Amino acid sequence: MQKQKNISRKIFIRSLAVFSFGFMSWIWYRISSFQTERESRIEFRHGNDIPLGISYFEKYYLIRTENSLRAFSTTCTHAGCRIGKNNENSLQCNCHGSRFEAETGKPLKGPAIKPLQEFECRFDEKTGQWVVKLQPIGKTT
Amino acid sequence: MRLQKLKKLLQFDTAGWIASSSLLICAVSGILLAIPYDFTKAHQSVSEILLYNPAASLVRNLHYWSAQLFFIFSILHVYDHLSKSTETNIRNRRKWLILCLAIVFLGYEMISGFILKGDAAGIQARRILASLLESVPFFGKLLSSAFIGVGENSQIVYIQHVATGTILLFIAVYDHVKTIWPKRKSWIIVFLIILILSLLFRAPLGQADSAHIKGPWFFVGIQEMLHLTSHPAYIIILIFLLLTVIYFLPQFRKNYRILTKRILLGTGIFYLIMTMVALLFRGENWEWKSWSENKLSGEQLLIFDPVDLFTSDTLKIIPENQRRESCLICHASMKGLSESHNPAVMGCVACHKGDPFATGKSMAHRNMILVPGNFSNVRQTCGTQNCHADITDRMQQSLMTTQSGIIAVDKFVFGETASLNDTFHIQNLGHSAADTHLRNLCAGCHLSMEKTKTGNAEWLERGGGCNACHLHYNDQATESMKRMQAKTSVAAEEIHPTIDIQVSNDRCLSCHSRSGRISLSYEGWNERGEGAAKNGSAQTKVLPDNRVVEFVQADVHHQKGMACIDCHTSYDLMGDGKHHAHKEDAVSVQCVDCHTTGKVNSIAVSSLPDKESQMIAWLRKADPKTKVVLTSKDQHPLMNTRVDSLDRIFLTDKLSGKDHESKPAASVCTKGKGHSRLSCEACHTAWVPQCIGCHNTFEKETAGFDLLTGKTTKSTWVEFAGNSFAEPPVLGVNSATNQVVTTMPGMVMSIDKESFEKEKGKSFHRLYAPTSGHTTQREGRSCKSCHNDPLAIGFGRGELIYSVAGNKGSWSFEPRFELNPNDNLPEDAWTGFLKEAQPPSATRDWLRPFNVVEQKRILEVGACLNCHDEKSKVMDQALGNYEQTLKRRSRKCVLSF
Repeated sequence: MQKQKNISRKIFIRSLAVFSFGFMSWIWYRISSFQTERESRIEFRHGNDIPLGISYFEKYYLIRTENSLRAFSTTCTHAGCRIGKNNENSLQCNCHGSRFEAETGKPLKGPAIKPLQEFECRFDEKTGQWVVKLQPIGKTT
Repeated sequence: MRLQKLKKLLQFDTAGWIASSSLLICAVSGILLAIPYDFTKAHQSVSEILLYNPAASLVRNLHYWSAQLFFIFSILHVYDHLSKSTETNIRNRRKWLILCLAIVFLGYEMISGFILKGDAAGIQARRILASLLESVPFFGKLLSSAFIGVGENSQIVYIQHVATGTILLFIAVYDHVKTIWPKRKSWIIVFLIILILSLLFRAPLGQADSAHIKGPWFFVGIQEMLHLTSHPAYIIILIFLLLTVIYFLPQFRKNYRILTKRILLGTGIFYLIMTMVALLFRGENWEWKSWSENKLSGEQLLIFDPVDLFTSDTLKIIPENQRRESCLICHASMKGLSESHNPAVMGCVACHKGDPFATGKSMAHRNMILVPGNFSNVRQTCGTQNCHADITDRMQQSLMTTQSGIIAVDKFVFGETASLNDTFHIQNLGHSAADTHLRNLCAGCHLSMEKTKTGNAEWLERGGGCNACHLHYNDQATESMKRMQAKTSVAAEEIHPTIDIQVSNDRCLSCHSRSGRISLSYEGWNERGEGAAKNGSAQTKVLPDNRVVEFVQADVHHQKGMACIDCHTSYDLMGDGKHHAHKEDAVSVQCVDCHTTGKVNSIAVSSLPDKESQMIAWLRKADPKTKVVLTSKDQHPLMNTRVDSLDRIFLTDKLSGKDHESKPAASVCTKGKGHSRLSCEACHTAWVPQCIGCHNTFEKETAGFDLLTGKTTKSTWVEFAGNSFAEPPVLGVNSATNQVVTTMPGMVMSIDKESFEKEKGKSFHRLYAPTSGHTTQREGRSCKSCHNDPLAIGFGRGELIYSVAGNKGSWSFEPRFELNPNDNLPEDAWTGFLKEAQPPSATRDWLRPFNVVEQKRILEVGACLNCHDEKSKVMDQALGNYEQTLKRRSRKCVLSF
C-alpha cells in the first residue's frame, strides 16, 4: 500500500498565503493595466484646419508642416515631466531642462536622450477629421 | 556655566523623541486639514485655505512645519545612532528591516505631501515620481499605480499619504520604542516651537501654472542629480543601494562598518551640496541663474506671513471663475486691461509678482515689481514660458535692443573696428573713445533702458523693455495713478494702463526722432536744431527737448491715416531672433509687398506659418480662407492685409480700423529698361533730412552724461552740427543688387581723437548712409530732379551747367559750399564731379556713389532734358528703349561726352 503523503498545516497555510499573494498581485496588475490601456484607446479628433507649426494639447501636440501632420507625446522621455512649448520649433521640459525638436521629437538638449513618443495620427476620410490615439506608433490595441 | 545651561535647554530630548513628537502633531493636524482640503481641486482648495480661512491656514502651517521637523530630526536620529554604533544593538532582523523601510516611507510621506499641494511643481513631482517608480524592473508599473495612481488624478497619492504612509511610520516608531507617546515635556516644547513657526511662517504654495519647477528643499538635490544624468534609473539604483547597505550594515565587520558610515556621511555631504546648488542657482527650465536672478523667481523657503486668527470675516470672496490670488480681494474692480490680460483670469502676480497668498497689504506687496516688462525682470514677468518667452528671446537680439548698427558705424569711424558688419550689443560697451562717444551721445535709445516710474514715458525717458511700445496710460489711468500716488484712491476707482498691441506713432517718436529721424519725417517734420530760430512762413513746433522742427511734407501713408505698425510687423520691430548688423537686414516689409506689379505673394489664414500670426487671426476671428500678404523678403504675414479673389490688396489700419485698397505700382515704374534698376524709394521719396557735417571733440572740463548707466560724467564728447536741409535724397548704388537707392549723409564728420587720448590725431570721414526716408509721395520725382540735379547725383548743392560749343556739349559744376580741406570735395558732396569716389564712402560696404560711367550716363539724359520736356513723346520713347531713341536723334541734338 502506497504511503499517503501528508501536508502539514504550516505548509498548507504558507502555500495558501503565497497563492493569495500571487493572485492579488495578478489582480493588481490587471487593474493597473486596464487603467493604462483605457487611456491609450481614447481617440482625440481634430478638424482639418490645424494650423502650421505646433498645436499644443495637454497630453500630446500636433506638428503640421507643408507635407505632414504628426502627433507626439508631451511626456518628457527623461523623467516623465510634462513638457511645454518653448518656441515655434521646439518644446521645453521645465523640470530638468531638456529641449526637443518639434518636428521630429528628437532631443536638442539634454539630459533627455530619447526622442518623444510619436502617437498614432491618421486622417479619417469619412468625417474629414484627424484622429489621434495615445497609442505609440507601431503598436495596436 | 551659561553655555552649558543653554545647551541643556536646547537638548531637551533626543532627536528621535523630537521627531516622534513632530509626527504626532503632523498626524493630528493632517486630520484637521482633511476638512477644508479637496484633492479633486487641490490647488484651489489650498489657495482658499490661505485666502479665506486663517484657522485652516494655521493648521496647514502646523502640518507643514511638524513634517519638516519630523524629517530633519529623523535624519539626525539616524545619524545619532549610526555615529554611536547602536545599530548592532538591534538583533532582530525584522525590526531593522522595518526601520529601513521607514526611511523609504518617510521620503514618500514628504514628497506626497508636496504633490498634494496641487501646484505646478507638485504636479510635475508626481509625474517624475511615477516615472522613477515605473523604471523599477518587473514591479515598476505596479509600484507606480499603487503609490501614484494612473493618469492625472491624485486620489491614490492622497489615500497613501493619509493612510498607508502614516500608519507605517507609526508602526515603525512603535516597533522600536514600544510606544508612540513622547514625554509630555518634550511634546509641549516641540509643539510650542512648531506653533511659533506656524504662526509666523507660511507653508509654501506655488502657482498652478508656473513654469518655474523646483521640488521641495529636501528633494531638489535629487532634481539636480536627475538633471545631470540621462538615465533616471541610476537614481533608483543609488537609493536602492544605499538602503541595501544600511540594511546589511549591522552584519558588517567593525572596520567595514566604519568605512561604510564614512561613505554614507560623504554621500550626505555631497547631497547637501547638490541641494544648495539647486536651491540657489537653478531657475526656470533648470537653467543656471545667478543668485540675484534666482531670488525673484524662486520659491522662498521661509515665507514670513503671520497668521491673523482674529481677522474679521469681511474679506470679499473671489468669484468662482476667477483666479485665486489675494491681490484680487482688494483690486477686484481693476479696470482698463484688455481681455488678453484680464486680471480675473491671469491674476496680478503673473506680471507684478508679489505674494499671491498673503492677505495683508505689506505682505502681499513684498517683492512686487511695480513696472514689469523691463529687461531686468522680463524673464520673470512678460517673458515667462507661459506667456511671451519666444518674443522675449527675439527681443534680446533685436536691433532696438543691441544698437548693433549704430555701434559698428561709430567704431568704424573711430578706427576701432575694420568691418562695418561686425555685430555688437549696447550692454557690452566699454570705455574706448568710440564707446565713450556712444555713451555720451547715442546709448540712450535702446530697449534695455530701465523704466522706473509709472505713467506714460516722458520724452527723454526711453526704453523700458516691453513698456516702450505696449504700455499706455489714457487720461483715466493717469488720473487713477495720481490718486494712488496721493493715497486718495479707493479700490473701486482703479484703472490700469492698457497693455496692448495698438502701438501709436508717438511711442516710436522719442527714439526715431534722432539719427535718421524717420518718425519726424513720416509726419512731415524736419529738424532745424535745438533752439533754432523759427521760420516765419513755415509751420514750426518745438519738441520737448527744445529742438525746433519745421513742417515740410508728410508721408502719403501718414496722410491716409496709417501708423508705423501698419507696415512694420512684430518681426521687424521686436526682431526675428537673429542678431542683425543693420536695420535693412532686420526690416522685412518692402514697398512691393503691397504695391506689387505681378502676382501677390499671399497665404491663407489656415496655413499661417507662425504662432504669433495664428494667435492674431484667432483673436480677430479671421476666416481661415482669407488670404493675407506675405512679405517677399522673409515670408512674414502682414496680418492687417487681405487679398481678394481678383488679387487686389486691402490694408486695414490697426489703430483706426480704416480700410485702404493698395494700388499696384504704376506702369511707368516698370516701363522699359530705363529705370529697371531704381528702387521704389529712389523716385517716391519726397525729401530726407540732410546735415552738412559735424565736428566731434572730447571736452575734459565739461560735465556730461553716460546714457547707458544714467550717471553724470566729468567730461563728455560734444558734437557741433552744421546746417540741416529737407531735400530730395541723394542717390547711390547698392553694389550687391546693382539697384539705385536713396541715401543721406550718415557720418560726415571730423573727430578730434587727440582730445580723448594723446597721439591719436584727428580723423575725417565722408560716409553716406542708406535711408528709407519715410516721406513717400504718390507722384514720382521729376526726371530733371535726378538727371539735372547735382545733389541727387552726389556732387552736392550748386549749379550744374550744360554748355554747347559747336556740336559738342559739356557739363560743368559750380558748388555752393566750400571745399573741405580734408578731401577737397564740397562740404555737402558725396563724390567729386565726374570723379571716382575713394572708399570708404558709405556706412555699408555694399553702398557706393555713382561712378564716372554712371554719372555720365545720367548727365547724358540730363542733356536731353535741357531741350525736351520730360513729358514729351520722345522722352517717353527713351524710357521704353533708350538706345533706339538715340539712334533716331536729329542733327540738332547735341549730347554730352
